[in-house]
Amino acid sequence: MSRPLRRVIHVLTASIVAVFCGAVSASAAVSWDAESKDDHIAIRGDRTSPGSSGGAAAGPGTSTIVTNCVPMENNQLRCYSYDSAAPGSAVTAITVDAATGPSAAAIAASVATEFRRLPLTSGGIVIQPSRGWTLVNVDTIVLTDPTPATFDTTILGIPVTVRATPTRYSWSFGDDTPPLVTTEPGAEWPNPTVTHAYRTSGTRTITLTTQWSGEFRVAGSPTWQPIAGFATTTESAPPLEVRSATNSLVTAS
Amino acid sequence: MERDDVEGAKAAAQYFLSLYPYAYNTGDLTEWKAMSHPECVFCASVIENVEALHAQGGYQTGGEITWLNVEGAGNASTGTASVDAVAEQAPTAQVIGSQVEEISAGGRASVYIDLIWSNDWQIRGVDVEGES
Repeated sequence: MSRPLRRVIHVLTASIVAVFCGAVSASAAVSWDAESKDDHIAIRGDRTSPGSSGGAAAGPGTSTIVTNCVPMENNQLRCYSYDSAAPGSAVTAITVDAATGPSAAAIAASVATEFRRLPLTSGGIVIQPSRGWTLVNVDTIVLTDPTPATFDTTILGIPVTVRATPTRYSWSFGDDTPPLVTTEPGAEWPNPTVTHAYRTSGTRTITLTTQWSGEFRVAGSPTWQPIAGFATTTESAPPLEVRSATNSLVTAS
Repeated sequence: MERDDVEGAKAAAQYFLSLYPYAYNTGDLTEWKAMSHPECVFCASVIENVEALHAQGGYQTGGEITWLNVEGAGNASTGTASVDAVAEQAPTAQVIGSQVEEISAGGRASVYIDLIWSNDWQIRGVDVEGES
């Protein structure tokens, strides 16, 4: 019986955070925005079961947790939740002191720290032409995979999902030119967006430094919140031989 | 609201909020009160404001709600349901005596509705976030 209880506590904590973080004051034009706020946040969505290290999951898959917290008097929240994957399960209602929830600032700071520790993997470097050598004075094409990365982790005991999105790329081409900084991930021939023309021959190493921006959301919450700061990854491609075109012609003849 | 499943909850939520402009326009709160759970702050606020407005002979016009997207979770066997919706509200004017005032230009809003089942769906809470 410990599993459902544990789950409820997790979701409950997440709800408190959401209540604290969810104070959105929109200057809306709808008239019903003038009514007194229930200020209650409904949290729902797929929550992945705790990881294998957690050991608490009875089986694989996801379940939908619906949790509602309604502010009561005396700074208390009445939260009730249930698992939609088990429709017969009873509603669990708990009254908690809202003041005991971790502050939004504490969550945000912990997430920001955690974000820079995430095992982010650089998007890879594709060089075109892909034969391992290129020519002087001809555009060499580079590109990387811009797919965001998503991680499920636990912050202050609260399950959160962190999403990292590459937002800036710095290409160092291994010659004397300054790094090319761009928001473009690049594209394949014949429509490249990031290119470099080497002016001298030699062996060059192309290095990509990617700056990632982050967002997080507490489990089940529909709202992504920005993470302060950035994370970076760096990777280098295998050495690239830059050949002089005239030399090649001489060699070929 | 015969249905105790999530579709019934969605229908109940939409029906309830369609009573919002109706209550302000007519002062008739019978159905609104019948569906309001005692803990619903939003519901109580509407009752108070509608009664105050109509007590001084005032009323509203407009404010009709159009549903753009409605999603729900939960059913009666779990006791609660949540409905997540996007709605558009028409402009609303308020009339008190000879004073006519536009109190809302209308617009789009995200609406979260919590329902609780006790032989019928009751509205436990409403949260409206206008899109500015």
